[in-house]
Amino acid sequence: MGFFADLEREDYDRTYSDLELVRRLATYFRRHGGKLAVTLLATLIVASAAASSRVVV
Amino acid sequence: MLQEDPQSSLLYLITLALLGVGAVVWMANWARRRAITRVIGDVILDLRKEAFRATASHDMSFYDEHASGKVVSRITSDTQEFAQVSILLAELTTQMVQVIILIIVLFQIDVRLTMIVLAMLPFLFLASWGFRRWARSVIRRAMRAVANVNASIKEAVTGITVAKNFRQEEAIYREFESVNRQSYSVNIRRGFVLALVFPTLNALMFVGTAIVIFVGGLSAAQGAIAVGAWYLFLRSVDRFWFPVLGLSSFWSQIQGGLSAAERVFSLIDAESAVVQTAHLQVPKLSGEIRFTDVDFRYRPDEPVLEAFNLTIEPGEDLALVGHTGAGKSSIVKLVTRFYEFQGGQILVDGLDIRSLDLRDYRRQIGLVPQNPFLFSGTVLENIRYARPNATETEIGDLAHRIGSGEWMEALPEGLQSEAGERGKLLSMGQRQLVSLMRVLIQRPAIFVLDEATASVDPFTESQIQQALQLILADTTSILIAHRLSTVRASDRIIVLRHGSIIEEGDHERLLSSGGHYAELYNTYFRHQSLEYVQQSRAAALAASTD
Amino acid sequence: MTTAEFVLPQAKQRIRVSVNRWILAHTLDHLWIVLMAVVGAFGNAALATAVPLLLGQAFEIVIDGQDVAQGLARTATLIVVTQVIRSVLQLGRNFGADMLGQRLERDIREELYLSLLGKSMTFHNLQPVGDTMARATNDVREIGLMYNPGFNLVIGSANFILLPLIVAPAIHPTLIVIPILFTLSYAVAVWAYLRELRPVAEDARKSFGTMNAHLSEAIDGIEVVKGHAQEDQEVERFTGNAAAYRAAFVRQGDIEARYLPLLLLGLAEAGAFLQSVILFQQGILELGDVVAFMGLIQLFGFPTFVSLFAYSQVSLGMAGARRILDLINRRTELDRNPEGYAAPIRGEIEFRGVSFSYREGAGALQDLSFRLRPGETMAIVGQTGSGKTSLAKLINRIYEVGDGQVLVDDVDVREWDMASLRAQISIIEQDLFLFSRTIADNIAFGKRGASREEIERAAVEAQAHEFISSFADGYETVVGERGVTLSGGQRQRIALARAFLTDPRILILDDSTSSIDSATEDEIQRAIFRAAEGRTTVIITHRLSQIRWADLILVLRRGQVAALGTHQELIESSPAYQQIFSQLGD
Repeated sequence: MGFFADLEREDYDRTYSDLELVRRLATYFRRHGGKLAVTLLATLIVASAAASSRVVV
Repeated sequence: MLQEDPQSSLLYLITLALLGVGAVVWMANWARRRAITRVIGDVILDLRKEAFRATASHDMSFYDEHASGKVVSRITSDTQEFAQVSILLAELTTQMVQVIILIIVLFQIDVRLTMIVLAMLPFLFLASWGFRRWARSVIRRAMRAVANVNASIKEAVTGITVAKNFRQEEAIYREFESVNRQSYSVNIRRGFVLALVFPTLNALMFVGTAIVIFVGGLSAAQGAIAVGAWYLFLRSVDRFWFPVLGLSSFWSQIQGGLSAAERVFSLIDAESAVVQTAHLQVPKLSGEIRFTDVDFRYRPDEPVLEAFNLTIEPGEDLALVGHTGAGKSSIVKLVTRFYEFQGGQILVDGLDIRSLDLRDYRRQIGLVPQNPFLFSGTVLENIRYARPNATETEIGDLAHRIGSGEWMEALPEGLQSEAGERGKLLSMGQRQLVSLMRVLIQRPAIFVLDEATASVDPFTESQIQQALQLILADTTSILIAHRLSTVRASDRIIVLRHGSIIEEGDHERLLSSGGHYAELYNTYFRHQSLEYVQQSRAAALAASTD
Repeated sequence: MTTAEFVLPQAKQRIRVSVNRWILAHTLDHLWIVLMAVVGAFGNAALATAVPLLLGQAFEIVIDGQDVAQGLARTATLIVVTQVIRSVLQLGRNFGADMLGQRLERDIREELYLSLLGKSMTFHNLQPVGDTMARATNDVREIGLMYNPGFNLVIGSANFILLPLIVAPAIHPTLIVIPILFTLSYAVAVWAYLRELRPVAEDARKSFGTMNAHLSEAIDGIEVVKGHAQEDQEVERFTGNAAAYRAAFVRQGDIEARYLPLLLLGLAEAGAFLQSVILFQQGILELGDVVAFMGLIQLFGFPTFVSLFAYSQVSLGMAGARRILDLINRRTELDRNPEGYAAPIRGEIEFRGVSFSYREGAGALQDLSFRLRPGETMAIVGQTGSGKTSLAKLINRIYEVGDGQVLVDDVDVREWDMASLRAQISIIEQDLFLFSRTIADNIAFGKRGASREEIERAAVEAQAHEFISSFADGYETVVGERGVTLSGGQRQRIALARAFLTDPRILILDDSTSSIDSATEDEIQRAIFRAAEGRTTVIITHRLSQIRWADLILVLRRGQVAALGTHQELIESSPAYQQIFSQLGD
C-alpha cells in the first residue's frame, strides 16, 4: 500500500489491509481511552469555539 | 448588525465573548495537546518495546538475512515516523471537526454560496491527487539518491585505512562527489514538485473566494442575503480552506505513517524458523548430546547435513576438523539452537532440544564465537555480561589463570579499560580473550569454541589451553579447531567432509591410520619445516626471474 | 589548513571560527537564490494583504449600491490576478528556500567528507562510526530543513508581521496600536518559548540517539545476547532507554501545549474588534475599513501558527551545523607535508628509540630500535597486545611516533611527502576491509584504470584467480554488505592481489589469524612468499615457516624488544625465542 513500500522491502514484509492496520493500532490506543476522551472533548471545544468566533463577529 | 445598531452596548458583550473564546480555545488546546502527547508517547513506547522483544526472539537465520541497520531503523525510526504522523493526524482531526462545524454554519448562512464553495472541493482534490502521483515518483528517486550518498559516506568512514594506505583519497572523493551531485539534482526536482503544491492549491482556492465575493456581493446588493451574513460567510470560508488544504496535502504523509506502522508490524509478526514445542525447565545438564538422522540446510537446495548421527558423551572433549563448508559450524549452530533443522532429532541429556525452554537451556551453554563481539563499556563489564554479580576478585583470579594475566597488563587500565564501540579499542586477540572469559565466568555445562582463539597468538593460546583443561575437566566441550596443535589434547577428533564424518578417533589413532587427518597434519608440519621454506623460496625466485 | 592528510587544491577555504559566519558564508555562495526567496517572500506577503483590502472595497461597493455588478467583477478579477501572481512568488520563495537547503546540504557534505578524508587514523580510531554517520546524515539533513521549512517560514511569516504594521496605519493612524502591542508581546512570548524548548528538545534528541546506539549494539551482538540468554535483560535495558525518550518527548509536548502566542492572537482579535468598532461608531472608519482591518489582524494567524515549529527548526539546524563544524574543526596531528621528500623508495627501514601509544598513559611501544635493509624480510612475533600492529602502522605514518624516529631510506617519515611515502608502501591488515563493489574494482583500488589483464595477472600471482573464476560473475562479482561474503582467506588473497598490482617497495602484512584449512593455506603461503620476494617485507606472524623464512626476527614483549636477530642466532642465544619456538613447533 504505502508510498515507499518497495524502497526497503524485506522478505518478511507483509501487506495488511488498511482496516487490519487500523484495528491493530487501535489496540494500542485503547488503553488510553480516558485521555483520548479528553482530547476529543477539547477538540470539540476548540473547533466550535473557533467556528463560533466567526459567527460572533 | 453593525449597520442597524451601531451604538449597541452589545459591542462590549461581543468583545468579552471574543476574549472568552480566545481563552477557552487556548486552554482546550492546551489540554488536548497534553493528552495527545502522553497517549502517543505511551503508544510508541509500547510499540517499540513489543517490536524489540519480538526481534530479540527471532532466530539467527533472521539476522543472517537482514542487515541489522534496517532492523534498528524499523524499531526506532519507523515508530518515530508513525508518532509524527499520529500528531499530524490529531491536528487534522481537530481541523476536520472544524470543517464539519463550519459547513453546518455555512449552510445556515446561505445554501447557494455554500454549494459554490463545496463545488470547488473536487478541483482541489483533483489537483492534489495529481500532485501526489507526480510527487510519489520524484520522492522515491530522491530518497534512493540520498541513501546512496549515505552509503558512500559510510563506506569511506569504515574503509578509511584502506583509502589511506593506497593514497586513494582523491579517487573515492571524486566518486562521492558524483553521487552527491546526482543526489542534488534529483532532490532539486523533488523540491520543485513539492514547492509547487501549495501555491497551486492557493491560487485555486482564491478563485473560489473570488466567485463567492462576486455572487455573494450581487445577492447582498439585491437584498437576497444580509451584508452581515455575506461578510460572515467570507470570514468563515477562510477558516474552511485551510484544513481542506491540509487534508489534501498531508494525505501522502498519512499514507507514509501507515506504511511505517506496517513495517513495524511485519517485523513483530515475522515468523521464527526455530519453533519450540514446549518450554521445559532444564535441569543441571550432564552434557550428553545425541544427533539422530539430522537433516539440515540453510537454503532448500543446499543440504549441509544429511541423516547425520553423532553422540557426544557427558564430559567428553570433542574436536571438529574439516575444510570450510564441511559442516563444522553448522553442528555448533544446531547445538546452540540458533537454527532450525529439517529432519531427525537432537537430544540433550535425553531431552528433545525442541521441547526445552531456550533461555534456560542456553544459560548452560557457553559459546565462544568466531568473531568476538564486545559491547561498549569496560572490559570488566563485558566479562560479567551474563553474570552481573560476579565479583571483581573472582574475575581477576580467572584472568590470572590465563598466562598469569600478562595479557591484562597490555591493557591501559587493566580490567577497567574501555573496550570501545564493538571492542575496537582492543586488539583482535584481546577481544577473543574477553569473549572467552565472559563464557568461563558463566560456568556452562556445555562449552562450545568456534575457532575462538584464531587471532590469539600461539603462546597465549597454549596458556589458554592449560587454563581450559583445569576449568573444563568435567564439562562437555565442542571445539572447532583452527590450529592442529590445539586439537591434539581432545578426547575425540571428528573429521568432516561435505557434512559427513569420514574419520574419528583420538590424535594418535588418526595419525597412525594414515587418512585425511594424517594428511592434514603432515601438510601442516610440512609447512613449518625448513625444507618447505627453502623449496618455496626457490620456487618464488624461479617465478620472479621468469 | 596544512594539518590535513588530504586536501583538494581547488577546494574553497572556509572560515570555520563561528557557526554563524560559516553558515552565512555558505549561504552567500548562492546569493541570487537568497534574493529570489526574499523577494518571493515579501511579494507573497504584500499580495496577501491585498485580500482583506479588496474585501473591504467589495463591502463599500455593495453598501454604496452603485454599479455593483461591474465593481464586484473588477474586485473579484483583481483578487484572482493578485493571488495568481502571489502564487508564482510563493513558488519562488518555497523553491528558492528548498534549493538553498539542498545546495547547502550538498556543499557541506562535500566539505565534511573532504575533512574526514584528511583526518588521521588516530582520530578515526577514537571517533565512533555511528557518531560520524549521524552527523553526516541527520545533521546535514537538519541544515537542509533549517532552510525549508525553517527559514522559509520564518522569513515568510516575518513579512506577515511586518505588513499589518505598515498597512494598518494607512487605514487610520491609531490602528497601529494593536499590531504593535501584538508584535511586541509575540516576540517576547516566542523568545521565552524557544528558550524553554531548546534544552528539552536537545534532551529528546540525545535520548533518541542513546536509544538508537544501544539498540544497534544489541542487535549487532545478537549472537552474544542469545548465546548468554540475555534477551530479557536487553529488552529491559532498551525499555529503559525508550522510556527516557518518552519522558523527554512528553516534556517537549507540554511546552508546545503551553504555547502562548495562540492566546495573544485571540486577545489581539478581540482588541482589534473593540477598537475598530469604536472608531466606526465615532464615524471615523467606514464599515469596509473595519472589515479590512480585521482581515489584517487575521494575517497574524500565519506567523503565530508557524513559529510553533519554524524557529525551533532553525535552532535545530544551527545545532546540527555546530556539530558538523565541531567535527570538521577537530584537530588532527598529522601533516601530509606536500613539500616533503619524495623519491622512489629503496626499502630500508630503521626504528631509532621509538615509543608510541594510542592514548595518553597507554604504553604500547617503548624504546624500539632495529634496522632492515632493502629487500629483507622481518618477522614480528609476540603476544596479543604486545604492540605488533601499532609498530607496523608507524612505518607508513598511519600513526605518528611519540618519541624517537622512524626512517625510510634514511629519511624520517615525517620529512617524507606523505603521498609519496604511502603510495609505495602497502599494508595488508588482519581485519580486511573490502568495498561494496566488484572484485575487479577492489583489486584495482590502489591503481585506478588498471586493465583487466593487469588485474587478472595480479590475482593469479596472489593465488586468487581460481576462486574468483568459480563465482558466476567472476571478476564482476559484487562483494561486501550488498554482495557475496568472502572467507578470511579469500579476502586476504584479494588484498594481496591489490598489493601485487600497485607493486609497492615495502609490504607490511598482518598474518596473525591462523586457520588449518590446509588447501588454501598452501596457496596463501605461496602467494605471501611470492609477494615478499624483491620487496622489503614486514610480516606479523605465528607461522614457523614464515619466521624461518625471515632475515630478521623481532620478538616483542609488552611493547619492548625481547629478542632480535636471525633464526640461527636466536635459537642459540635467546631463551625467550627458544621457549616460543618449542611452543610453536609442538
